[in-house]
Amino acid sequence: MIQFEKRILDNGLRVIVHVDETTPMVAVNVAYDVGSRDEDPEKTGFAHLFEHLMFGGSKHIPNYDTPLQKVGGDNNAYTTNDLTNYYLTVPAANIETGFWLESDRMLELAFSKKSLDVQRNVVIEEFKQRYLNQPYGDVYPLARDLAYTLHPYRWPTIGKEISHIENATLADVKAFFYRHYAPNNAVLTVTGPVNPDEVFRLAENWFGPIPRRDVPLRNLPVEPVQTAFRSKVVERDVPFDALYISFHMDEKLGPDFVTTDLISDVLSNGQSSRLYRKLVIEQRLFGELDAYISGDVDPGLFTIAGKLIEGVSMELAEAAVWNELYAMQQSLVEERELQKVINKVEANLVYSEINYLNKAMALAAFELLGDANLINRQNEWYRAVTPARLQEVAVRLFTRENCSTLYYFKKKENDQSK
Amino acid sequence: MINRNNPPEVKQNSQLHFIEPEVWKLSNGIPVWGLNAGSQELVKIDLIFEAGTWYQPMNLVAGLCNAFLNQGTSKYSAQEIAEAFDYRGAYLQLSADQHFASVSVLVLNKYIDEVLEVTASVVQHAIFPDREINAQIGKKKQQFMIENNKVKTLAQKKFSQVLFGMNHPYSNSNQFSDYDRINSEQLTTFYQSFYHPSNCMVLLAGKYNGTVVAALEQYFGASAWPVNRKKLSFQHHLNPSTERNFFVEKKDGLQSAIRMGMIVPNREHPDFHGLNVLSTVLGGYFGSRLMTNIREDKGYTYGIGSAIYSMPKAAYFTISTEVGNDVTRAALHEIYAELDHLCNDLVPEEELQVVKNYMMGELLRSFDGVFAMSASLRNLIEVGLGYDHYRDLANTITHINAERLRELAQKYLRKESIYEVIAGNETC
Repeated sequence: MIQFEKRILDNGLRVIVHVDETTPMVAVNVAYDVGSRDEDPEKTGFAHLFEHLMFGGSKHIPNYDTPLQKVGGDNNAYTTNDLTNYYLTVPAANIETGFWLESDRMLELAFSKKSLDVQRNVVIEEFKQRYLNQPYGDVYPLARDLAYTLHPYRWPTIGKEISHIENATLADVKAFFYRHYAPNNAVLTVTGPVNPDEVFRLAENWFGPIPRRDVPLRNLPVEPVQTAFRSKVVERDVPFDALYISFHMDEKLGPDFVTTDLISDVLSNGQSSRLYRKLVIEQRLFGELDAYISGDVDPGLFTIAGKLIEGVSMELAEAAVWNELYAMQQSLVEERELQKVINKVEANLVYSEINYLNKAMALAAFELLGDANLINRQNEWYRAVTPARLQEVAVRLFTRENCSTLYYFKKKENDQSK
Repeated sequence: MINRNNPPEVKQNSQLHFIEPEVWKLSNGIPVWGLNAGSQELVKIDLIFEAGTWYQPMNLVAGLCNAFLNQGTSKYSAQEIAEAFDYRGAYLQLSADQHFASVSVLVLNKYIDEVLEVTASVVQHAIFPDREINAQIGKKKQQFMIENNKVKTLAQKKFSQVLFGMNHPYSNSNQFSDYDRINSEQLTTFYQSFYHPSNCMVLLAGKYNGTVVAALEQYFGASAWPVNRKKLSFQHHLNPSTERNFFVEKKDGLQSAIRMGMIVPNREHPDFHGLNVLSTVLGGYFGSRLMTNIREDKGYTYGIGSAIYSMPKAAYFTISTEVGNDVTRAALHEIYAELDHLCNDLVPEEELQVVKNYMMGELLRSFDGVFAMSASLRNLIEVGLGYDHYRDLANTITHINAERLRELAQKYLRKESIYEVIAGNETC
């Protein structure tokens, strides 16, 4: 149970405070309700590029990092399909420095040409380092592009192509800021050894004067229901063939989400899970094999990803995975097996409450979903799942019509020597 | 009225606060360090053995012996072991480095008994069954091949080889063919020689109670695990390369990986903490000189950093980054210019102050929460040090000045003594 206090400032900023006396540090976390799903299809990668620019100086503070480092602070940020999250940690005595920094960049960025020029290059190198210059680095964008036809989840956070990042202008940056960065489109969470009233006072002082902005209502295209099996074959310079099978699944707050999550746990969470025992150890078809959910706010993907053992055919590997999926549809999962994955979720929730920064991020993410208090309801959602529910959802989830499969082959030897 | 133009007044950082561990011995002599802290009813237990690569007769043995401990025991199958942990939401983490191999357990207090019973079987009665071992080696081979397709892996391996010498346990000279030479018998022999009470220490962290302490004695004390073997020791000598510059080719890459550095004095040397401050100035934090110049000014890379790694028998300084092929030469030029700059010029007072405060914050962070404390304590007990090591570091951070840093740079970070390894394609 994570206790917290919440207030909403006049400008719409939601402020959440959780007291944790076990640490000498405080976390100041600002989550903006903007992610790559909010991008123009011709200007993808922008939410993430923008995250980089948020460190390029703000209206009254030419350099974000130095004053924070000066008080022993540290910071970072990340962008997902759904949100952009900025966080800093600082020794509790210097909490106000965090408010000064975060409120100034919510008030107004510096919009520096130099910062844009440099960060474009940095992001392009990040694009190469993470996606283009890694074995299997392009799987995620390929799999998304195959599974989605319309919804913006079809492109990755880093962007669809490098040119979109290269073409970003200062005018785009300004427009993006005023469209999405606003107190009424953000959640501030503070965790650590703090006095909530003092935090609310600081929040009022520093964030209160920032004007509310016109944030357009989100109106994203809905992904049409998939009606036929899709597949794509690629060949790459990698050491092993790989297989990626994806299914459309429920949205984050949808009735099937938690059940689908548990299905992925039954299949592949831990060395006692089904896919691992049967297909990795007993049948030796895969070296690595995982099933996971994307966890997106809008309807996301359930994916099974595996790297084939040398000499195993793609057909055999694929059929073996489907056999396990059919098994989920044909027979009920035993009570003990279900209990196991629920216990694991519960233990993980306890582990996740150890760290003050984790709690700050999680509270913000749930508040953006609609209510920070949802964080304390997860246990009961998972507890309520039954074997019959697992079966019912598996029947709907694992169909050929709902499936997009990426066949990722290694290049033949003779091609490599060319 | 708030003033946005000036930062709020800087307040003195919270004092470093060390929780003194409780220290006791199990009935068979295994030393236990206990850090009783935290608010959740759970503990992390590290069983640490001197069973790292330093002690292995051939490549891979130490790491695989550790990694396969949970693949079956005289009492439980791999499946039963996995089930026992998964069912209780507990985690078994196996890891080995150059000197130490550990079996770590994260568990809710309410399951301590069931989970330690299985853990004891893993630690005391592993049997390395062929079927499981062969499947696991297949997995490891896959991971090896994938890793070896990354420029950063290629650069890091080469760098360790030139720094320590091909046959030194600190160098990574593992080859694909090594996996075919591993069998259950070698793993068993190594296991019997190094996983025993005289070679073990325990670190217990979390909100523990009498039940947890009693369970440790029950499952790992003399009645369960009598002493029957002696501790072994080994010697190895450094054999650094006489050449300084190396290139590892990786066709078709878009980026090249750079690793640079050299061996530096280790923690017992009076220059050690000062070198850490110097390395932080150069590349140890986001606002460091390498990040500011090569990422934030030039945009050549997503990230670049420098650090000092201290192992029991040697320490080294390293700079690492991945940069676009077309800017590799330019990045190297800037790195050398930054080294020169440190050797020739004094670090400005304001910059030094930022570094000092940042490092004190990091030090505070490394004791933030019971698991961070336990990781920091582990670093100390592995090499027989106490909290004074961190007090000395704090003292150095507080008192070091720009003259001293320049002197250290001139003494250690000279261009002539640095090793340079680049992995990438021929255009870089």
